[in-house]
Amino acid sequence: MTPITLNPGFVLILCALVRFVTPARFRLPLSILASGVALWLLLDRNFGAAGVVAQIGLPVVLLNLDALNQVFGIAFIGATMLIAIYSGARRHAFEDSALLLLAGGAVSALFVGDLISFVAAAELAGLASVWALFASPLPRSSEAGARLLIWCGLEGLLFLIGVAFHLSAGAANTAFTRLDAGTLGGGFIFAALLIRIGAPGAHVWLKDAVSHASSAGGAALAVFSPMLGVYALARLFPGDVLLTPIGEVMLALGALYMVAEDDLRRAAAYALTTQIGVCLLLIGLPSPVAQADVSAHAFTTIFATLLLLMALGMGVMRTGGARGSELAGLARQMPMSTAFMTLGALALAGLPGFGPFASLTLALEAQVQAEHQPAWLMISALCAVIAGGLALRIAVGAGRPSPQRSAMHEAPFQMLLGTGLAAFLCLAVGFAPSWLYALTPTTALNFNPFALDVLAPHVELLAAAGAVYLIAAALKLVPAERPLRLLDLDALYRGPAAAAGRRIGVVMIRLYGGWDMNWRQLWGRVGTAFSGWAESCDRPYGGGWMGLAQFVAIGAVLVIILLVRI
Amino acid sequence: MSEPAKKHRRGALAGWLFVCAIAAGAAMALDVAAARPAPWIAASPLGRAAIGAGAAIGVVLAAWLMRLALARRAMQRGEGA
Repeated sequence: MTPITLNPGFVLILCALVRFVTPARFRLPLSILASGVALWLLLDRNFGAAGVVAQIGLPVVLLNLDALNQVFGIAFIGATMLIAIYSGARRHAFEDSALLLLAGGAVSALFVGDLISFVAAAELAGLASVWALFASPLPRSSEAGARLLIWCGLEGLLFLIGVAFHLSAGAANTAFTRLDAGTLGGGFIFAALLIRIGAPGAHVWLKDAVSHASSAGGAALAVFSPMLGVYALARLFPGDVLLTPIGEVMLALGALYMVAEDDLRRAAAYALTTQIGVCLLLIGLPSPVAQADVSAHAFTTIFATLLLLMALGMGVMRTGGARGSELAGLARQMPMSTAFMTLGALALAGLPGFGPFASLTLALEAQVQAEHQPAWLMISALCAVIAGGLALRIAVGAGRPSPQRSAMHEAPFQMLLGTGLAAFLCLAVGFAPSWLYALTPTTALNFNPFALDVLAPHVELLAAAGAVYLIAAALKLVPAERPLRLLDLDALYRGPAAAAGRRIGVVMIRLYGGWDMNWRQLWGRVGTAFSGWAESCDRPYGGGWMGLAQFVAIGAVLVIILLVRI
Repeated sequence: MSEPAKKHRRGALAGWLFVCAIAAGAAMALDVAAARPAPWIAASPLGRAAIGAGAAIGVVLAAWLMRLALARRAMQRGEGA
C-alpha cells in the first residue's frame, strides 16, 4: 500500500488551477491523468484516517477512507473522467476548470474526516458550481448563477452555525461522524444538507441550475452537488426518522413535475430528485441492507443521471434546447443521441440490465424487510412513472416526424464517446452488480436481482406501465406536448416575492432619500448656527458703548486677577 | 399531419407497444408460475402489473392536472427557467 496520504480531491483541485495555463490540446489528457491519479490514491490505500493536523486547537483530518466514501469516491472520479471526455468536444477553459474544481471540491469533501474541512470543501464545490453556471453560454445563466449563489450562501451559513453550535455544546471533537438532528448544532447541519440535496422547498435550485448550465455543466451539477449531500446524510444521520417523510415527499413531488415538464433537462432534474428521495428512504431505515444500498443506489443513479443528462445535453448543443415539444424528428436527425436519451431514462426507471435495477430492487427488498409498505409502493410506482412519463415520452416524441428536420446531424464524437461510456458503466453494473455490492459497507450482502422472483415482477411492472401509457398515447389521452413552463416554488420568489421586494426596495430607497435630505438640512442648519457662533467668537468686541463696556469689564477682570496673584 | 407522417408516428408507437405487451405477457406468466408467499397484497402475483398500470394512468392524469394548474406559456427559449 502507498505511503502517500493525499486526499484524492486535492489532485483534481490542483489540476483545475493548472488547466488555466495549460495549452488547449493538453487539457483533456491532463484531466484524465488527474482523475486516474485520484482513483489510484483512492484504491491503493487501507481504510482509516491519515493526514491529521491541528489548526486553532482543532484536529483537521484531511483523509479518512472507509467503505462508504470509497463507493461514492469511485463514482465521483468516474463521473469526472466521463465529463472530461464529454466536454472535450468544445473549448471552454473557464468552464472546464470550474467543473474540475466542482469535482475536486466534492471528492475532497468525501474524504475529509472532520466537520470543518467538510464544510470548507463542500462550499468550495458549491462556489465552483456557481462559477460553472456563470460560465454557461445559455441565456439567463448568469441570473440562475446568482440564484444558486444565494442558495449556496444560505447553505454555508447554516453549516457554519451548525458547526459553531456543535463545538460550543462541548463536542469532544469535530469528527465527521454521526450527529443528532435533535440538537441545535445537528439541526442546522441537517438543514444545510437538505438544501444541498434539493429537499422539498429547496428542490428548485437543482432544476434551475441544471436547465441553465451547459451540456457538460448540467450533468456535473446534477451529479456532484446533491450526491455529496446524500453521502453526508448517510454519514451523519443514518436511521434518522425525519428522512423517511422527506424522502417520500421528494419522490412524489419530483414525479409530479417530471411527467408534466416540457424542458426535458428539468424533467431529468426532477427524476434525480425522486431518486434522491429513494436514497433518503434508505438512509432513514436503520437496517444494514438499507444502509448498504444507499451507496449502491447513489452509485448507479450517478451514472444513469450522467447518461440521461449527457444525452439531453447533446440535443441542447445541436438544437439549442431539449424540450418535449421540440423532439419531433430528433430520432432521424440524432439517432444515437435519441437512443442514449431513451436508455438513460429507462436506466433511471430500473430497466433490468442497467445499474439502477440492481439498486432499486435491493431498495424494495430493504423496505419489505422493514415492513414499510408505503415506501415499497412508492418506489415501485416510481419505476413505472419514470418508464412511462419520461422514457417512453422521449422515445415516442423523438420518433414523431418533423418537416423541419431531415438531414442527420449527430453530436460530436467526444460527446458520444463520453455518453457511450456512461451507458457502458450503467450496463456493467447492471449485469454484474455483485462487485458493487461487495464494495458497500455491508459486505455480507446476499442478493441476486436476476432471481426469477425478483426479475419477473419488475419487468411486469415496467412493461405493464409502458403498455398502458402507450395505449393512452394512441388514444390521444396523453396531453399534447407544447412549449410551456411549470410554476414551482421559485415562481413565488422570482415572481410576487421578487416584485414585492422591488417595491419594498423602491419605498426603502425613497424613505432613505427623504431621511437623508432632512438629515442634511438639519445638519446644515446646525452647521450654520455653529459657524455663526464661531464667527462671533472671532469678533468678541461689539461696536459703540457695548465695546467700551466690554473693554472696561475685561480690563477690570485682568486687574482683579493681577491683584489676587500679588 | 400528412398520411406518411401519421403512419410513421403510429409505427414508432406500435413498435414500443408491441415490445411492452410481449414483455408484460411473458413477465406476468413467469410471475404467476413462480408464485410465492407475498408479504402483502401488492407484492402478490400480478400485483406489480396492477401497480404499473395504475402508475401509468396516474402519469396521464398528473400530466393533465399539473399542466392545467401550473402551466404557463413559454414565450422563448430559456424563459422562466
